[in-house]
Amino acid sequence: MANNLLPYGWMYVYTVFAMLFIGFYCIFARRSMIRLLIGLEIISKGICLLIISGSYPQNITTAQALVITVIVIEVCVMAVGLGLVINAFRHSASIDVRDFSNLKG
Amino acid sequence: MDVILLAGVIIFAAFAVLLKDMLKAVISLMISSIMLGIVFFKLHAPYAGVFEISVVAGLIMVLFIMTISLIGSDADVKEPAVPVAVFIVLFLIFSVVIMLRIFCLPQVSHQLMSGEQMRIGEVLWICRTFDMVGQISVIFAGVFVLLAVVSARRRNGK
Repeated sequence: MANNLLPYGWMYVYTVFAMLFIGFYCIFARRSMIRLLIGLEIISKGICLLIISGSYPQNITTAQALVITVIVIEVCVMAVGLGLVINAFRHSASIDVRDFSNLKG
Repeated sequence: MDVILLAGVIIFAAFAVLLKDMLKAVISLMISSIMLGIVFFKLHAPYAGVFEISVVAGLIMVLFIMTISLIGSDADVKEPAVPVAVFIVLFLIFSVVIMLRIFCLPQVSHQLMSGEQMRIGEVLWICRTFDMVGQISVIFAGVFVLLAVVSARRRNGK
């Protein structure tokens, strides 16, 4: 499972899974919408590290291209998500996800 | 050095989740991003490192801080009372399971891909052309959604 061409490759695999665990814990255990986006960000970091460490050293150029794509998509997701958080706060003066359980219109 | 960097990435990501102050959490996430960028540099991926540090640790954190400053302290959310010890215990159990899996599963085999003799610009524009089209589409989609959100806010303001 670990990259055998990478010295101590198991450390990178462990870090990836640890970051995935932290991100999913944040999404499941927290109620603030900003915390949810932070969890999404941590998961995305773990995926980027998985792509780079898994392709070291032979496929690193393609991996960098993929990571750049992931980061660009991540920026757009965060910008839109934070814009929606601000909009939701202006509507209901709360960013608690439990306050957004009712759909309207 | 790698161990310290990777441990720092995990620890500061955990701080970003566990700290109650939102601003401190975002700063922890920024430090985690910077450390991850250094890891990318050490793995001979300088372009990914530059993007990670400048865009993720720079731009996204500015967006987070701007949102927190716009919302202010009125948006304090009452989080469920899950103690930090629960997180630590779950994390330790998860770590043991992952370690067992890592050393039991087979190693990854590597095959040389066609784009590896090229430079990053050539890979992006020749081998990954559809990715570039997708990136441009995503950027436009983000801009349009932000414009829609801002215009909705203006209408509500009137």
